[in-house]
Amino acid sequence: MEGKTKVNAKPQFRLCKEDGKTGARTGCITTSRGVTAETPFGLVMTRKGLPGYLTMDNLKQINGVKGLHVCASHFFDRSGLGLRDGRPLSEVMGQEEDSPVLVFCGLRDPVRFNLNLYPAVGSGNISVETEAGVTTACQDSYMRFVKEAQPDFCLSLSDDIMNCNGKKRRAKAVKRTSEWLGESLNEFGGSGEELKSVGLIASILATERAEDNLRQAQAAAAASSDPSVVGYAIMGLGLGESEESRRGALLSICGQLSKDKVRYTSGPSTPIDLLRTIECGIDVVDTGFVNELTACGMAMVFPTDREGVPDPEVEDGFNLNLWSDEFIHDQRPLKENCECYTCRNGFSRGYIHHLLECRELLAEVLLEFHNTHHMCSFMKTIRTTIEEGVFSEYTEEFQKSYTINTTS
Amino acid sequence: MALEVPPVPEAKKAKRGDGKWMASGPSNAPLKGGGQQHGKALEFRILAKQGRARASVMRLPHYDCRMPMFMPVGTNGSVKGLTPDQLRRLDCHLVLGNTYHLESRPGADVVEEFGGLHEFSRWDRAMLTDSGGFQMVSLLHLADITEEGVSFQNPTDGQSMMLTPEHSMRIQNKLGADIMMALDDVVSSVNPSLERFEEATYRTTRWFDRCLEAHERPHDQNLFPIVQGGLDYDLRQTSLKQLMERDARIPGYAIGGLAGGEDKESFWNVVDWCTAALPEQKPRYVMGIGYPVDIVVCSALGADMYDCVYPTRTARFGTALVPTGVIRLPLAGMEGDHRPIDEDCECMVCRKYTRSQLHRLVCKDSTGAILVSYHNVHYMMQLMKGIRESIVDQRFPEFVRDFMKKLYPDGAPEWVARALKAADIEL
Repeated sequence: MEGKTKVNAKPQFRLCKEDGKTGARTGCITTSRGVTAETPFGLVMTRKGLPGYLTMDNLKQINGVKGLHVCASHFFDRSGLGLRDGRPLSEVMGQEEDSPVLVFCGLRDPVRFNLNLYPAVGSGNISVETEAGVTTACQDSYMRFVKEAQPDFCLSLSDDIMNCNGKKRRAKAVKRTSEWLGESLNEFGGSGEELKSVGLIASILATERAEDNLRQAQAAAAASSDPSVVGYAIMGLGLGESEESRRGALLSICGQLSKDKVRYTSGPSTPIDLLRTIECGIDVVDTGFVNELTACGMAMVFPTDREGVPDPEVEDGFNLNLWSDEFIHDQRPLKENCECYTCRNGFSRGYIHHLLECRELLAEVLLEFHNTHHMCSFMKTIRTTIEEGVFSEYTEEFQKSYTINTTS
Repeated sequence: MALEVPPVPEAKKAKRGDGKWMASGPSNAPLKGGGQQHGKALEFRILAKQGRARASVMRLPHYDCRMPMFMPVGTNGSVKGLTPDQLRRLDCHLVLGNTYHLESRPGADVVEEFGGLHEFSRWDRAMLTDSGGFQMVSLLHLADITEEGVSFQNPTDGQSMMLTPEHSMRIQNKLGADIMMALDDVVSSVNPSLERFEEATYRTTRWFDRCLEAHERPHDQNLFPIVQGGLDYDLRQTSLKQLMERDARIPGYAIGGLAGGEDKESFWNVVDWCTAALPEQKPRYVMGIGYPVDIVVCSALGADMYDCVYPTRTARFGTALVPTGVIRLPLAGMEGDHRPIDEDCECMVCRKYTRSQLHRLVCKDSTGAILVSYHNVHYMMQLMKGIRESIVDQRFPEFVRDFMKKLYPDGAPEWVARALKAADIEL
């Protein structure tokens, strides 16, 4: 368990192709740790650095997983927030040296943290959900964690709030988010060696007020002249706002940001959401909804190539619910011609249904293999359509083929 | 002999979770298949011996198993979250499936539709199924054993159901494992009634005869009988004698009725009597044994095969197996422990993860259970490999002494010393 060679430069983003008709674009992230990630791609959610059910020997078999979203809030123990290992996060997670993936670090768990229940606490503090209950973190403890963890990317803190909050609360949230960005810039600037290989992602808290969005975006764009800043995060989405409002916020914010930095957001909960998000100019998206589908025993089966049509047997066109008795005798793979570990090794719908019924862990392992692969495959097609300049046609066709099932 | 059983319930389609035994066809249908020809579906060859311990190969339809071997239990067709690839990488030769669970859900008929258990669970190496009897007796407190078979009241609807030797064979034939177990009259080894043990001993032989007649696939499935007799020397000898009279039709023997809470002295004695009496050129399977020390002792006494839920079950609770015993990962002290589970272990888990990271994961996240299961299975497989190699290299007694020294630095328990002495190994 000796330390590996230290990396010495921040991740680089290079813009490759812009769609022209929409804000979509392709790009490439490279790190001195040896990761090359073509954007747009989906970030796989983790718990304490590991996906829900896939151990690293399994994860590395999935072609196309480029980044993992690690939440600092998963590393709370009785002494507080901390990794306390002496090794960077990539090693603690057990990453394979020959197939590294990006480590993208934020504080809160965007999928699980229930913003309805817990307000921010006091000035400077931010409430976090841990296994031991809700507690608080602050800029200092978060930065200490980031220094220990040495992720490739680090989100500056943002005071995400539900859309239903009042004007005053929202103004405060925007203010705190901007302050935290300032503090992060100072921290990164003043920390010398400690954060030199970590890229700061400047958080912008999207709100319903266009002026606030613009102001923040402009401030972030200005801040990005600081070499610590490698990209932007548009936070506060997927929290009860309308689709229109989300789109509006994304478009207006992205319009202000410099093109040569990477853009991240979380919030999409369906494949169509995902397309619309990328349309606005996002490069890295959280695909936490995929993890949730797996946990519910669902398999994504919509076509990920351009010629495919939705399977008429599938009720909503998108997902199979493997809990259903209709699969007891079904010997077919989850999806015909799917190249994922589960499908190409002949694991049948009937077997996965059986495993779910027996509460066997292997059910979720096999589903996570399939769903993660499926998402990577989808993102690859998206990138190809952007490269070929047909992204908006693809998106239109895609939306026309499905009855939209918006239960999120 | 006409078998009278309650009428088969109407609904034949497998239903979700209702636990109905699907009587696979009317139980008074003419019984097919005429006995078992030993020799086709199993070949056994001893590679090396030292004392009473043997290193051997057992050729089965799906795989050549090196023995002594430990067989992880994949209750419902999978071993706790580990993929077949991972199991192969861990050097598993054979996985066990539980007939009771599989017949309850999804039902042997459904598994047969899929082409058998191997096809269903995508495991291409060897498999073994038990008879279903043990689970029924231990899981269903309403079970009742008669000469007919094991009858019980279905807890969901109060209907009477029956597991006979014939049913067990039919179910296991559909599942298609390389080795099947005969239905035995299993009595808990702490049952005080000698009469009950006596009844069970004789009945086990009668049921084995019925199993032999009912077994429809002797060419590709091996039927093992189970030696019973409780903890009584005479009853055990009776069981051994009766079963060995049928030796020509028996590819391998199991020693049952242990792993039920009996004292260790009785335990090793029973294994000793059985391995001493059983034919040398047939594999010996001690059922339900999984503690490393028990496996080492039984191997010294001449046993070859073991199964137990212990390594995988205990992994789910965060207990990892190591040469000195166990490491309990949920303990508070593990929080700051940056060592791997075992410094000398070369498995993926020990190479990459510290006790501290595993402490965070176990009991809370599925990956924790999987990682500890992975390590525990690796540990067991390496233990078996160590036993086999040391027999082949003619240094098995040293291996045993070394093993016991690490596990019991202050001296092994009396029963271990006595058992090993019977195997000509001085501690």
